[in-house]
Amino acid sequence: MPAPTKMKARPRSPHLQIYKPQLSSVLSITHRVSGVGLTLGAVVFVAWLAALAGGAESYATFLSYAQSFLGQIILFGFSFAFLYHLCCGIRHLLWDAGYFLEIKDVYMTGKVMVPTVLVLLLIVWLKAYGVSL
Amino acid sequence: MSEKTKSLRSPLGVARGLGSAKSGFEHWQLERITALMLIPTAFYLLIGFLNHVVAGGYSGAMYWLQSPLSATFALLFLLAGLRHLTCGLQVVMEDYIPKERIRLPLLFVVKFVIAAMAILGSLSIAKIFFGV
Repeated sequence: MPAPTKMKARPRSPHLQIYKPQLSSVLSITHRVSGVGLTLGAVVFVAWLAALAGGAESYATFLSYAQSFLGQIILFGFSFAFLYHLCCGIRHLLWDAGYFLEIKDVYMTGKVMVPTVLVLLLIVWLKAYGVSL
Repeated sequence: MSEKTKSLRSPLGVARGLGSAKSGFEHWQLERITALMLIPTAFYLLIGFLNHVVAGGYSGAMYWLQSPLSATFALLFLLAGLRHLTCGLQVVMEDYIPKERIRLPLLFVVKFVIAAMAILGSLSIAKIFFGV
């Protein structure tokens, strides 16, 4: 009886960095990254609720953090992740329901979504800085 | 009949052995149901936030969240959002952390922290709403 041959290392599929970035893949990975990033967004949201429930003083403390330079950067990231994940999530749900699954439709919905997110982001930050719309 | 009320999977799909062999379908479905709940609540909160909270300061935020409709939307958004977050983080961890003895304790920590956030957020909304 022959000795069992040692198993050769099986080929593994190449990972992300080997592929040319395409709209479909970039939007997909951004959806996942924004979703994970929204973990921090959830912490900010709960902290905001808790600060508000704590009264005027704790709310003022929260605002001083939120209005600091670092706070504004975090809030900008939060707002982008929120709007992106919301819009891209609608796209994912439409796919789950069986719509827009052809490649040309995938590109079409992607090209509709990206400007939508950017316009919403612009509206949010103009409003945040007191521009009346 | 009881089989039917338990699941939305079609009997034919089950008979042919389609889909998850374990509990994957419920997880997948819960992620989508919470996603659907998040669409209207997210837009409602975003609009309310921009109209009342950004300019209104402490009193504006309190006034807004003390309306029953806003409080309901805020609570729905909080709970659906945190449940959706748990689902999503679990999927990501299952994709990138192959070692179960690392992944499972980490998943437990994630679920514990998110549960704590759900309680803190809910109690905060209740306290704001009742104004105590």
